[in-house]
Amino acid sequence: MTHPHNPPVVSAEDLSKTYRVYARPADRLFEALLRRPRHSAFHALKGVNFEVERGEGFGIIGENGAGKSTLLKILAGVTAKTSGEVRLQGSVASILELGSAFHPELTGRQNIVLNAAMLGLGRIEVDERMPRIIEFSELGSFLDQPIKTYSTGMVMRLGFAIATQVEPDVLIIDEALSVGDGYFQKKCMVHLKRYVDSGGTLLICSHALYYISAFCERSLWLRDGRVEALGPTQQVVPRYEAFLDAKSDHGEEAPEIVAAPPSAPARIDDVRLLTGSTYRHGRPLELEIRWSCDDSEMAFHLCVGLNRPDEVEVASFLSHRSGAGPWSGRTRHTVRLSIPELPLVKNTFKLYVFLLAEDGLHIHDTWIVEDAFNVEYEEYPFGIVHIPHQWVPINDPGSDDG
Amino acid sequence: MLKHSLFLLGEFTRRDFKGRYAGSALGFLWSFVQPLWSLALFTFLFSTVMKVSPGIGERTSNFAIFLFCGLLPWMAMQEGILRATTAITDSATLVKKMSFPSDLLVWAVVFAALLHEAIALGMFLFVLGVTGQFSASGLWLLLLAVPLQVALTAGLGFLSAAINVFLRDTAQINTMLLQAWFYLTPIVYPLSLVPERFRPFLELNPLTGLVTLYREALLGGELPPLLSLAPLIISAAVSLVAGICIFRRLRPAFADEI
Repeated sequence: MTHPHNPPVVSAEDLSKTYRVYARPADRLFEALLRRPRHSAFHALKGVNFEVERGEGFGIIGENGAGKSTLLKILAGVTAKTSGEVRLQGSVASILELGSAFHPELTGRQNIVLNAAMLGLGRIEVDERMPRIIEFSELGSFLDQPIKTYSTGMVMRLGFAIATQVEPDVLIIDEALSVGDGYFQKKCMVHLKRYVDSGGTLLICSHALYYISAFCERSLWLRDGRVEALGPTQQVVPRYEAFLDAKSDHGEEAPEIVAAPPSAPARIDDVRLLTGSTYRHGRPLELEIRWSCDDSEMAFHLCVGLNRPDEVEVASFLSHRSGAGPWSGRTRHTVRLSIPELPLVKNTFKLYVFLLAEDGLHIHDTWIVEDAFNVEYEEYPFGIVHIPHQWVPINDPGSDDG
Repeated sequence: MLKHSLFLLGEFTRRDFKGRYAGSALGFLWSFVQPLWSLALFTFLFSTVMKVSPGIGERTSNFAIFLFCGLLPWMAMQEGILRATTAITDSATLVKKMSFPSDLLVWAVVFAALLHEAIALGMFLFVLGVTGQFSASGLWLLLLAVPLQVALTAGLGFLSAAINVFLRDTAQINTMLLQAWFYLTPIVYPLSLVPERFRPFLELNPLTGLVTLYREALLGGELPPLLSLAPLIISAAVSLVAGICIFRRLRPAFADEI
């Protein structure tokens, strides 16, 4: 979807940002006023170049501290660049943190006006979009209550609603969409997808590589402030994933499971292995998973992973791929996973249970059963798995007996 | 661009004004109560106990009325400067996460203070009217006094707001400086009570001119000699220009420093 003749909407040329680290806060004041250096330097961005065209989704990935947020802050105009060039065309709105502009004492409605005005809307535009924002937020009568009475989830919803309804020429989002419940998150994603498809330019930074793959044709991988890779997302993301895998193999633990936020609207209550903690080859394995949620409208999928103690992923069972679920319509659920037979020969195994949202992607809760079961054997088996096989003696007519 | 800035300024002023009284029982009635409280205390202390009276050459012999004419601009300036000092640091998340003209945060508290003054002024004019002391002939002087007051407040506010980002001591220092400035301005006493040899110093105080201008405006007076207003006019212009220049110069570093 790149249009080689379109002038870029966003471009950065040899962009660098150096944070100045001061021994005392006052040193910064003297330096800013007198323009004489009194600092030590930290280079957050080093000579970054890229261009983004109109109607393009552009992803920015990289590890923590790689410079992603700094880059977005410069593009959003929140912080100043140290050197290089940045050009942006058209109206720009940024969401660097959801709900950061809210005033706790003002009502939801008053905050919508304030927040939308800060994102660049005029009075008439705000009035015009107010009904859509209200509808999108699904906050109903809460809108006339002060924000301080809202739950975290409600604040997020209002923030999402405003941000997605502002619809500027260029929208900059820093990680903001990886929070909130699965249902609302999905709604926002649908909206953003439509925004990009209708010609909006989206710059998004996220650790959730799924979002990058969903929205962005091209991606930029930042590593220690430099461009490590820039190109089609299908090429950049796998390279980045390979880099992360290689890194975790070297003993540095990469966080693999995104922990559920404390305000999770759904949580796993119990995981029981009905077939006991020892497993004998040829027998079935049954697992019962119980969970509860706040809202019976919510729909769920489950994922169960079977790992060896050394964290080699042996098998995974995903309900949305097996055509089971999504489960909804109640606040307490129990689902049984039946596995007729496991081909395992020995060892102790660990179970990961993930409670997923309807989209099969967002994790509501995680439950880990260490030493879930031990595989029993009579004679020491070699190898890892049982593979059905036969030994057949062949009576060759050309042999000695013939 | 300007239209959007004005819209945003209106919203910020509203945010400041509403946010402050939200959850309090009296709400915005506090903007009546606070000036009356100061008025009552100072009147008791200076008029009843210490027997200060406005004296010859002043337009009223009533100490409370004399005092309130000076308290009106003073309270707005004090509130404006002190709240401007922390306007940027109090809104750290906004400054770090949103792209908007941050000078509006300073203008918003200056205008919110002016709004409080307008409420108190309305109340004061009402009382003057009821007691038969109201005269409209000098009110046009407010057109001169208010812009000068806003310029001085905003200028010092911008300067303090910018410096406070780097040196949080500014808020404490300002509280002390303003306390001194209050007593060195003829608000609770008439200039005529000041010993002759100190009077020139007080006449150099820009607030002396402002307070005089308010008394003339509200008590049916006339334009004071321009020379007596020179310290006010010069310091208002200089502080506004210098305050905005220094604020703009330091602004790019705000998001990194807060």
